[in-house]
Amino acid sequence: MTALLRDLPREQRRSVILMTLAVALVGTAYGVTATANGFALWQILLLAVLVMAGSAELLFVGLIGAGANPWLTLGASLMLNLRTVVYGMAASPLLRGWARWPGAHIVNDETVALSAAGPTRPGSAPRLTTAQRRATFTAAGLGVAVGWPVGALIGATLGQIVGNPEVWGLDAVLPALLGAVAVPAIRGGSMVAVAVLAGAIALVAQPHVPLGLAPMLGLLAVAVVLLGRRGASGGGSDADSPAGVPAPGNSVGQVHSRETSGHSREGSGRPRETSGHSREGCGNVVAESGGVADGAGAAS
Amino acid sequence: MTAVLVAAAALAVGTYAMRRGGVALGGRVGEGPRAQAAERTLDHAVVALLIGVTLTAAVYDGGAPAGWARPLGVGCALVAAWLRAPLAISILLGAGVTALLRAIGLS
Repeated sequence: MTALLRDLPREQRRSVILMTLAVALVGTAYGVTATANGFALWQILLLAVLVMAGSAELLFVGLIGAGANPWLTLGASLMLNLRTVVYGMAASPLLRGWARWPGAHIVNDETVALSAAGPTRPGSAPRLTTAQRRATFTAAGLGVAVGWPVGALIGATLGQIVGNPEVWGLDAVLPALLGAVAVPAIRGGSMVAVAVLAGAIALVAQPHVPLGLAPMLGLLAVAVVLLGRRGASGGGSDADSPAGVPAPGNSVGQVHSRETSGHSREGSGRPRETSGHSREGCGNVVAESGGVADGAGAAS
Repeated sequence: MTAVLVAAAALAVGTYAMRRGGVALGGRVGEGPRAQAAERTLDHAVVALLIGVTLTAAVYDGGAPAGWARPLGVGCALVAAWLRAPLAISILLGAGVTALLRAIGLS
């Protein structure tokens, strides 16, 4: 615990506390929504603790409440959670040995975004060391593990009083939180390009693909932007990346990450495999929905 | 209701399996320039996913557009986050603007 606090930079401490409050707020929205959709308190809390994935839970209770088939609902929620595979890969260097088992459960949007985000003011300080990222990830995970069920409990209690969560704008709380943790994680031109392109792809694809899949299709943007950059810079993939240079204070983290990564070389192609796969999957979707984009834009 | 509970249990198990699987996959990436390239790719992928979920959740209810109030509210939250407002302020702004727009009759 003392190690956790020692390795947690001041600014990150503040972020984690604010994030915990924000997650509790989204949990409240989830509790209210689930209650409005006929879920019992014990079910709401059990889902909150065992699934601990805000967007998937909201989708799950929303669809069940709307009378959807439980198995289709399960499929949509799992598809929305597919992105946690990518998050798990991103968080992997922060989790060693036995910590991978409990640590995997707290891999989610907020923990991965905060532990990747580094300083919120670009250029003001070096990127976080691995030890600092690990502490941020753990603290953020504890925050989510506490804030989410507590918020759900408050929401389930309030749900009897509040009635329709939309009147209070509670349905906006989850996208607002995800957007607000995403924005500070966007560093540099290539990330801005990825964010814009991925957002556009997801928005265009959403009405045309099974529920939950559209954000995964946005990964196409990563392939397009990074491969485009590599082509433009003549193969120097990290030429424009200050992140590629280890920070001077990084030595502690370096030792740990070497320990976890003594494995195979052939495994290192995997992330690209992931995006390559989605590229195949969505080429036709984009083509197919391109013509409808104008109509969808006018309708929304 | 039994089917719903079984589906909920399967969601919990499936979600954990995907997270754990991702952690295991990521651990296979080695050191050196290839690992740095992989990390960079994953950093970009995280941003792509976050933005994708944010925008689809803001604009749609399932496959159908959700109206104007929520996208505009979430838009305010994003602008606030861009201006480095504290997280809670951004979120309260998002919910507040959405509720306000609905109160004045915008769906």
